[in-house]
Amino acid sequence: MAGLGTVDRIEPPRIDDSVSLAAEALVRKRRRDRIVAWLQLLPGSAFFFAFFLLPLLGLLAMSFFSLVDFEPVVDFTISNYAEVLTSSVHARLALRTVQAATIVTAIVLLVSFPFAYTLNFVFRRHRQLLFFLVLVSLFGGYIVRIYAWRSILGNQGVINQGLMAFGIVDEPVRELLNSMYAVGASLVNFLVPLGVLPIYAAMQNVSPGIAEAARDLGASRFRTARQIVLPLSMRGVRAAAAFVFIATLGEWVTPRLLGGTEDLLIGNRIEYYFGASLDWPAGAALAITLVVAMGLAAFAIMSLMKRLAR
Amino acid sequence: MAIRRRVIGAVIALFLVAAACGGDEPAPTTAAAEEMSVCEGTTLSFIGLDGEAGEAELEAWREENNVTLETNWPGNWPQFVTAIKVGDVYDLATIAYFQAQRQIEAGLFHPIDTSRLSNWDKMFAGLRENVSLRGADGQVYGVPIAWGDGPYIYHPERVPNPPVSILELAEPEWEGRFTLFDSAIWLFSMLAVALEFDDGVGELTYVTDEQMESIKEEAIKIVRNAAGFTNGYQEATDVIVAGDSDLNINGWEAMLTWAEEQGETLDFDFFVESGGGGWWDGLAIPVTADDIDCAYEYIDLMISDEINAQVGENLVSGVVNEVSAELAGPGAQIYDYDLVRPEVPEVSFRDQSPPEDDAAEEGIASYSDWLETWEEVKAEL
Repeated sequence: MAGLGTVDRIEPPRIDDSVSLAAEALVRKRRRDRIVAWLQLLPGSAFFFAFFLLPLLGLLAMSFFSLVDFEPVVDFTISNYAEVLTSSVHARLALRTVQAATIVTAIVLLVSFPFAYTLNFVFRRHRQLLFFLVLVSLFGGYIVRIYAWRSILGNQGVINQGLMAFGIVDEPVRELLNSMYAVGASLVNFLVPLGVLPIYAAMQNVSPGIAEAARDLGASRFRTARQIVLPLSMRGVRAAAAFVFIATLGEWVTPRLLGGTEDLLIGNRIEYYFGASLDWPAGAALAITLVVAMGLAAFAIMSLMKRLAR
Repeated sequence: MAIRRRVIGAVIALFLVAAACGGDEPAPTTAAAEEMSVCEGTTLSFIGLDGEAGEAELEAWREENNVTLETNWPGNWPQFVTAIKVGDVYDLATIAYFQAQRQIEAGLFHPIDTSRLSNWDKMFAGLRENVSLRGADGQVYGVPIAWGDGPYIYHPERVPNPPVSILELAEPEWEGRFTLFDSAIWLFSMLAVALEFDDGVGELTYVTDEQMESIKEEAIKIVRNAAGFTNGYQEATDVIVAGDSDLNINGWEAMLTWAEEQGETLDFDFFVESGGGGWWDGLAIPVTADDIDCAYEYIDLMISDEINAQVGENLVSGVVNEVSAELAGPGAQIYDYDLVRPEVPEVSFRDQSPPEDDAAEEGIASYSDWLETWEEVKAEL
C-alpha cells in the first residue's frame, strides 16, 4: 500500500511504553540517588578506613608478630595472646577497670537522664541555651580539665581550703586527690556531655504531649520519666551507656594524672607494653583483646538494657 | 629560663672561642675549632633530649664552621627507638643510662672508637670505665656528657627529719605524703641494698629470683603508702610546691632551682642506708648516621674542658671531664665528684640497673623480670 503521496503514520505511544519509560526514569533516578548516597558516604568512610580500620588491621597483624631485639618481626606466633590471656596482672587490672567503668557509667546515666529530661520537657523554652551549656563543657581541653581537677582536689585546692575555712577539718583531706574518687570525678565531668547528647536526641522523638497526658492522669514527674519517657528513649540511653563504658575502659591518662598508685587501669598496661617494655606485639595483642572485649561489652549493655526496657 | 641559659651559654661559648683564637697557646679543647672541621658546612641531625645537643654551648662553633644543628625529640623513648629502627637518619642521639642497655641491645648505635676522642681520657674514670656504657660485646656505645647522683627531693618545713632508708617510707607516718616515678629501677635497687641483698658497691644490681619476691613485698608496702606517681622531674617539683606531696623519691638537684622560681625552698638528701647510685646522659652515634666523622668531632667537643663545664652548668648536672670540674659554675659544683672517682669505691657512681635479659645468669632477676615484677606490684595494690 505504501506508495506516492502516502505519509507514514506516527504511532502514538502506547501505554505500555509510557510505563516503561517512567519506570526506566525511576530506575535511573534511584541509581543516581544511590551513587550520590555512596559519594556522600565516601569522605567519612575513607577517613574511617584510613585512620581507624587500617591502623586496627596493622595492630591486629602486629599482635601475631614476634619480638626480636625489641623489634617486631614477621614471625607468626600466638604467644602474645597466650601472655595476655593468662597473666594475673591483666586479670586484676581488667577487673579494676570494669568496676571503674561500671560505676562511672552508672553515675553518668544517673546525671544525664534527668538533665536531658529537664531539658526536653521542663525548660523547653530555654533548652537551646542549656543545650549550648552542655556543649560548652566539651570546649575545655581534656588535659586542662584534668589539671583543673588537681587544683580543685589538691591539699591547697578549693575543697580542702573550704573545709578548713569552715572548721570541718583541721588539715587537708589527702584522699581527695590521687584516688579513684578523683579519677571518677574527672571522668564523670568529661563524659556527662557524651551521656546527655544521645539521650536528649532520643527524647526529641518523644512527644511532649505524651508526658503531659501522663501528668494530667496524675503521674508524678518521676513516674512519668521512669514509665513513659525512659522506655521511649531507651535507644539513646543504651547509646550513652555504651559510649561512656567504652571510653572508660580505654582510659589511661586520667588514672595516671589523678589516680593514686592503686588506681592504674588496663589502659596503663597497654602503655607499659608500648613504653617501658618496648614489647609492641604484646601491647598490640592486649589492645586487640580490649577492642574485642569492648565490642562484647557494648553488645551486652545493649542487650541488657533492651531486656530491662521490656 | 632555658632561653636565658642558652643566651648566656652562647655568649660564654663565643667569648671562649674568640679568646682561644686570639691566644698564643690555644687551649687543647679549642684546637679542633681552629683546625679545619670535618663538619664544615654540614647539617648535623640529633635525636634526643632537649638541651643535650650542645644547642647553646656549641652555637658559636657551629656558626664559625657553618654547621646546622637539627634537633628532634619524638616525645618518648619508644618513639625514639622506633625512629631509629625505621631508618630515619640521625647523626647523634641521646643515650640515657636507664635505657642504655636496652638500646644497645636493640642495635640502635654504632660502637664508639674512643681513640678518636681526644678528651676521652680526661673523663672521670668512674664514668669512663662504667659498665653501663658498654654492650655485651664489651665495646663502648655511649659517651657521657653529664651525670647526677639521684637524691630524693623534699620540703624541709614539712619533713623536719629526712629519711635515711627507703624502708622508712613504708611506715604509717608517711602514708599519702610522698610520690615517686612509675619506674622500678631506683626503688628496687635501693630495696636490694636496704634488705642487704646487694652491697650497693660495684656494677649493676644483682638479686636472685627469690630475693626479688622479698623486694616485691616491701615495694608493695611503700607504693601503697605513696600518694601517687609523678611523670617527670618538673611535675614532681610542682606537686611538692602545690603541697600535694612532701617528698619525691626520684630527684634531680635542678628541681631546687625550679621550686625557687615558684617561691618555695626545697632540699635534697640521700637514702644513705639504701645505697647510692647515679645517672648519666650521653651521646651516641645511631646506626643510621650519615656523617660519622662529624659526629665524633661533635662528641669530642661536648666533653672538652670549657664546653663540658658549660654543659654541666646549664643542665645543673655533674660534668664528666676532670678539668671541667674546676671550670664549672655553681650549678655543677654541688655534686660530690668523689662519686665518679673509682678510688673511692664505697661511694662510687654505679648504675643501679639489673643485668639485661641475655646477660643475666640463671636464677638472677633480669631487666625484664624487674619490669614484670614492678607491674605485679602495681596490680596487687
